[in-house]
Amino acid sequence: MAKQIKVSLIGNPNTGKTSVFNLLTGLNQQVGNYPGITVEKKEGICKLSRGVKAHILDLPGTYSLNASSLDENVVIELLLNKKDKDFPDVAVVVSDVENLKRNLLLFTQIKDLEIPTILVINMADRMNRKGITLDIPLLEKELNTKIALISARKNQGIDELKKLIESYGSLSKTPCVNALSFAPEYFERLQKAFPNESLYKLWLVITQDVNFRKIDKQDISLAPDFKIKSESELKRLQQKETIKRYQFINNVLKKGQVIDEKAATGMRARLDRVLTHKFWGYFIFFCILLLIFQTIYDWSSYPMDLIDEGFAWLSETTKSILPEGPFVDLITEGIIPGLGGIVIFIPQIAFLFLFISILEESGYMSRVVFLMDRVMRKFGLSGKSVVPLVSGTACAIPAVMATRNIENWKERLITILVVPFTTCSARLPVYLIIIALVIPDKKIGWIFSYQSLTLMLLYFLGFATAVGSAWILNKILKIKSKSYFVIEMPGYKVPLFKNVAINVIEKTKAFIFGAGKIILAISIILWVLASFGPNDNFNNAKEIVTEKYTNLSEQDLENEIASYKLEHSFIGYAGKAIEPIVAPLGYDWKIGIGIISSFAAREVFVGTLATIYSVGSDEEETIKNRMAAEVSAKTGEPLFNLASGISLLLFYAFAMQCMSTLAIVKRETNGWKWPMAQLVFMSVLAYSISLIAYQVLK
Amino acid sequence: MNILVQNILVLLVFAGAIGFIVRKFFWKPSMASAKKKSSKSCGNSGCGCH
Repeated sequence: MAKQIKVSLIGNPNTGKTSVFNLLTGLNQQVGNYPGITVEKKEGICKLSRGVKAHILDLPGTYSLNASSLDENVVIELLLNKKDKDFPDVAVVVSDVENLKRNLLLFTQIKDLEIPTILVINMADRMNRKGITLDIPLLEKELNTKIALISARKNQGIDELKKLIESYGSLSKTPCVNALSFAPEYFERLQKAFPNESLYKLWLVITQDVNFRKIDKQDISLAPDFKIKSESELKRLQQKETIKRYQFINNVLKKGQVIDEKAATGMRARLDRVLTHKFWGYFIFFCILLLIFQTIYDWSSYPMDLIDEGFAWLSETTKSILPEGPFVDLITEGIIPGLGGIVIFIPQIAFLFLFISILEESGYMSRVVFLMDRVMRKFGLSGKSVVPLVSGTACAIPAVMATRNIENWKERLITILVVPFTTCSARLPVYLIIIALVIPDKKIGWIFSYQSLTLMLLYFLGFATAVGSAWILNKILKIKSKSYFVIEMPGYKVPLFKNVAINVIEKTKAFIFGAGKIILAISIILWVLASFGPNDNFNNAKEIVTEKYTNLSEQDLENEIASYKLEHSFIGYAGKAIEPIVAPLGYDWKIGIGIISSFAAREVFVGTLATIYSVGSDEEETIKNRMAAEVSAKTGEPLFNLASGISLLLFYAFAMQCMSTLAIVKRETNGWKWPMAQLVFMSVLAYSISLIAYQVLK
Repeated sequence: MNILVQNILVLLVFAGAIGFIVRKFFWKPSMASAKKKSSKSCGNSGCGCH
């Protein structure tokens, strides 16, 4: 077997680490999770010369080896554990030429672990524009390493980097900063006790609260001689370490780097002044949001219509080719529409992540996070919560996943718990049909109609509930966590198509193969429950209905049989069983079935009602007319009136009603505690508010 | 295709879907959490992995 070099790609966020990874591995990469936690693990293979291959592991972005988030823990865990299968033969630290001083802090820490380390200085194409000059041989000498000066954007210097990786054996392992200088007396004792270990590694084992697997942390940190007296003592020593490191870095850069300050600022500073301005900053951000939503809804509608029509055609064609029978029905009425229900969301998810990737790649997202932090913090959220809350308007699943970059656990948890309140696109079909049924089609003035204002209010209600719930959760959750805000302000740049495309593909794949499988499985279960019944009422539906209705046309008779069968199917009985619970909200058993089935995905509600009301097609206008004609068996009045309609809208605005979101919350919080609490809280809230609304309005 | 065969196929697919959901939501997490207890925490109090 050819030799494989294990390479860890490490760096601060926004240094272009992912671009370097993409250039080294091309499409030979795969994305997974680190075992037991939900931090994304990206790895790939890079072909070097003479058949040698490098296994590249793209570690999460980190500012230092003093961990403050799940992502950073991953880096430390790996670098301290020689027995880990991914422990690197060589560490490649990616830095940004414009932020070299800060990036070198992490470099010196990794170098001090006595791992062969290559320093990559990225974005070399900006050096001239920013007035930066580097003396590479001198820097290599001072830092005791090899340096690759590259431009990932222009694909320059990658071959040199590959050569350096290949010759990693010649790299020096000598530390940059002697750990003895942090606290001489303490470290001398430590060195005497563990003469064969790297001093800095011992220091990290003692001070970092992470999972060290094979390293016996207890032996070191619990020995009375090496126990750090207090948290403040620990902080003092860590600060001392940072100061010593910056003294070293300053000395090195004084010799090897020249910056023309006038050229370094300029356009970026002017743009920052506008984009983070306390009025114009918010104004521009909301204009961009408006544009994004407009385009998401507009652009997505074309591929979505095509997908819808495509699956309808596939279903019909399959039905016409295959022989009649229950399995063919399952394929054409359960599996194909179920698959369609997954695929139809791809355009919206892809567009959303396209915009998010462009905003991130361009450097604008960091300005938004900075801008929103001052508003969100009042409600117990972080500036970084903006991205998930915005994403939540398309779908809660990617939105919950987008909380991963919030370092503070409490802020991340609150964001995860409140994100499902924001109005996702799956609520839209439900809202549209109910609004069309119960809200008068009249206009206020010339432009705004009552119906569009109701829709806007529902969106506002979702966001306000999310923020309000965050405020309450912040008050009641007793989770100790450090709250601070550090955000990188990267330079503005034109997004790289390759990075944007890879990100969009990865996120879309995660949705299809994650939530998609669950949606498909539930569609199959619902179809079976709606297509089989427990007794003769279901089995003999045709005879019973034909006997009962003698004057119906063939089509009406078929519809009536379908309706009768559904009523006496397993799901029909389930609907009847929950009728006493939903009746106080103004719903009958049929709406009850719709609510049960839409637990798979909210938009299933419309399709279920189409079947229940014996409508052959789920075309909105047809369902709408049929729903408008539906009369309550108890009161004899229209079932969908203002009271029951508003009650239903509010129910869908507040209820969790999404199995996939529960699944993703379970995955992101590593247990059932939080998704169950979320389900109970949202369901009780939805029920209570719908009950009040119906009882007041009826 | 024989209706009986089709019914059996429906039953198999249904059982597969139920099995998938049970494995996804109930069986797999309980196995994973049992495994995880032997390892140490990730460093974030309250994140569920302690």
